[in-house]
Amino acid sequence: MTQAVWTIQAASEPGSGGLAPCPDSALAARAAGDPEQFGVLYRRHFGAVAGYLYRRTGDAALAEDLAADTFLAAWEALPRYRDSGAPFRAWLLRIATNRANLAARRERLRRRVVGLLGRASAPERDADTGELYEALGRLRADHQTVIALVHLEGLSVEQTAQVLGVAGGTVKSRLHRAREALRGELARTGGRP
Amino acid sequence: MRTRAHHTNDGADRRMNELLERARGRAWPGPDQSPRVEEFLRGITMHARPKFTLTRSAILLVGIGAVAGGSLAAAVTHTIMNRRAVLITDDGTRYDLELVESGEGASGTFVAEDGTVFSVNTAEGDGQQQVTVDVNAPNGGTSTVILDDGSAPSVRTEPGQDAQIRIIKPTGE
Repeated sequence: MTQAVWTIQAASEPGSGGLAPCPDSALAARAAGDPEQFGVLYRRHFGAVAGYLYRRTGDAALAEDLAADTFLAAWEALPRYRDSGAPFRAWLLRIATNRANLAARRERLRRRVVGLLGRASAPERDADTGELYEALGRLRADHQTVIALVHLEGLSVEQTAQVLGVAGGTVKSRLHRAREALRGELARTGGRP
Repeated sequence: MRTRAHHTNDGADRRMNELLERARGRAWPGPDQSPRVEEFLRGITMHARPKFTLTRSAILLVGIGAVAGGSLAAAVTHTIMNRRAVLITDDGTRYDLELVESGEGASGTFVAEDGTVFSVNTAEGDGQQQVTVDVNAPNGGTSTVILDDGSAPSVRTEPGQDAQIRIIKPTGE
């Protein structure tokens, strides 16, 4: 299916003709309480947010669930959204990151509990990357986040700073410590997932 | 000693970077829509406070002859309904557009009880199909056209304002 090319022209609104397509910031500004406008943003970004969560967690089912949570939370938060100049997707990724961190905490707790009962199990993942996700899962949430955004999502330091709402220098130093911690975890398991 | 530690770190770094690179290359394997979010949006659309209300019985079809005819419906299906072109207003009411053939496309005008006019025109040629919806609502409101690829161009009008939604799609011919 080819992607539709569409324009909205408000004929009696000077200078507004030929918006193609309507920018995220303009849509977001009027999407609070308007399910149709919000629906456009959701359709535009769901795949990207789900993809980020998939690369972050390594678990497709969990990623889809968290992506849905992200958009339901975004709907609730839209009245408080302010265009800061950062891409709208950065705002969505911040919500997605919070959801992923919450899920990671729950997963650690679950493993601790079932581990005590002698039935610890890991979610199904590709053998190819399972080792990485096991090691990532043992890192602090802020370390998992910065590695996911920079190394798995491919964001620049500046873009990562926009998502996290911190200074670029903070991202750099946090990334350095996160990489050290991840390398240590990988060395500790020595290839054993 | 220091050199050996450095080499060990290099190797560990390389292995870590390889794993990160592999994970980074993983494309999202799932759908680009969520049933849970779709259901939520349907629910809130139905409960959204109407800014103006249209009812099916209030809709008049003007200037397009035998709209409800079977053969006409089939022609429309070919031109526009295959793309699920549906017009909905901000009170959640949904209208299937029934148009008549005119030249290279089809057209029709819907006039609502409150004076809102929806003029729909479709045209096909040069490898593309174009659908244009002109809206004039005396009381203002939001109008959206839903397409079968999930895109939903929408326009909000102030009272008395004219607006146009135009969709251009390649036909693949």
